Amino acid sequence: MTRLAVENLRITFGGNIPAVDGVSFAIERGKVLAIVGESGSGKSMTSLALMGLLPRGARMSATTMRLGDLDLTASSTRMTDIRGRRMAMIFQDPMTCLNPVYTIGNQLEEVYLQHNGGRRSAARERAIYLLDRVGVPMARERLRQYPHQMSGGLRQRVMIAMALMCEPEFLIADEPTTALDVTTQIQVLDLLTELKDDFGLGLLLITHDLGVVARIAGEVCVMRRGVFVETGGVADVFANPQHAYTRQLLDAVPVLGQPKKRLLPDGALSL
Amino acid sequence: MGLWIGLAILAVIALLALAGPWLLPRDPMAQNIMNRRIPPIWDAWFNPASKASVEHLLGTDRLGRDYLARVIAGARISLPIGFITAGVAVTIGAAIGIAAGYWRGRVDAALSFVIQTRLSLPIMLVALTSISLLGGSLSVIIITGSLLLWDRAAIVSRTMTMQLSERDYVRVAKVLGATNWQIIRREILPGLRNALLIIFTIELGNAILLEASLSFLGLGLPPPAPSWGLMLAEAREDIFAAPWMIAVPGVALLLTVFATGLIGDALQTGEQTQP
Repeated sequence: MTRLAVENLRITFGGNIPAVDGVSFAIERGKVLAIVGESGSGKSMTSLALMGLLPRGARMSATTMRLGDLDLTASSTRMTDIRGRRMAMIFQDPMTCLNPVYTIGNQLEEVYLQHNGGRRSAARERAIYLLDRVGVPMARERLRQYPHQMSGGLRQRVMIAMALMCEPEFLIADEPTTALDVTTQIQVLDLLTELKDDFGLGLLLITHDLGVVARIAGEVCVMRRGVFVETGGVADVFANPQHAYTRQLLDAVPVLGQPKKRLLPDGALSL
Repeated sequence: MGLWIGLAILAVIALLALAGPWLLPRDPMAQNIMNRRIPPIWDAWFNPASKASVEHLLGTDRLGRDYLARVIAGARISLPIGFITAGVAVTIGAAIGIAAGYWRGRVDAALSFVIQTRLSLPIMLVALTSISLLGGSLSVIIITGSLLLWDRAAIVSRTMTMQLSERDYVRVAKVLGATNWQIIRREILPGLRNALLIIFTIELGNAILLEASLSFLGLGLPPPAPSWGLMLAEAREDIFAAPWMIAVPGVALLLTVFATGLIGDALQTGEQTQP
């Protein structure tokens, strides 16, 4: 089974404090790994590093970063062939992630044609199949619509379909439900779980929402200040958190009817 | 409204330029010293002793050449100069601007230096120098103009490319494997299209005026070419005795540049009122 494996990943921006300081993890196809952490903990940088899309000025090093047999850090690896075809990514805000000047069909087909070439009709069939698969009603008619004619939840489904056009083995979902309302969130999470099982997709979930983690992840890495403070199965970590920060995070989840507790700022945490 | 007026004026001028030789089969170069300085047809309305005749609707110049034929022939010079120069200039500018705005860093530093260098050069003086060195011909004027008028397109496309390449859908295109070229073609260029069209109309007017100015200064097209600028220059000495000789090419120039200005202005307003 193909694995996406990262060992000792470090990302710096030239200063003394690294954004990501030696994290290691591995995902297999059909599994979900969640990286959970607060803003600035380095979770998005980790996912961008996998894609080879770190911002200008970032420096990256890793002992290993492999997709199956392929070394992602090797200069001979053409990332444009891997992105979309073997690894794809979806983002937080479905409202801005689709280009407003093209129809849904055009955007979906373009991803397919770019990697597979061939005829547009084949791409269209694949697009209709996937739209149908991610639960967009009247898929054939939707192809002619523009993004502004769709709701946020539908657009996120379209984004997921777009990411799956070329049957990638791994999908990185960077806060996939943050911009959606709660009922839509659950639908999208259930959809991701279903797709993961049906397509054998390895899912790397980047989130700050423990509810999302609990619903779909198998394993969870709690990230803070560029390091994984705790790693383990979701059930274990939630039932028996070992690290003080994990405990605080779990305590900070608001429960209806209970007085609120605060997640203390940095200095207040005794390690 | 302005858009349609501008387009109508430009269409009439373009039509005259295209169909002129068939509508008015008169040689714009043919001299007739006996019929020189004939006033335009409307002179007959005010002056019973006028020499004006329907033979020469806009009169003749000081060598007896038919002025209407010359103005129309002038459009056949000005319009191609305007369209080709503006087209090439906007293409050069867009290429420089997109490259600088997309790749940033050192590419941007180098290309920004090129843009600054261009901005520090006075257009008229550089054009005069290059034409006095290379000689005034249609192609030299077009090349010189193209190499001098790209700055606006470059600056605007650089800034807009920087903004557009931060959009989420560009990030999505990247993570789904689009190459730089595909991103520029599919995601950036459509966003620049309107702005470049507006700049094209501005540079169209500028290019026409540049040619007219150069010809007026005697360093554009050589006589006896019926360039509007050259016609103005030749009519200079007759300004009191035969003012129409200045007015006719002047109005032609004014109308053309006014029309392109109207079009550009209307496109810009339309662009800003878009949701």
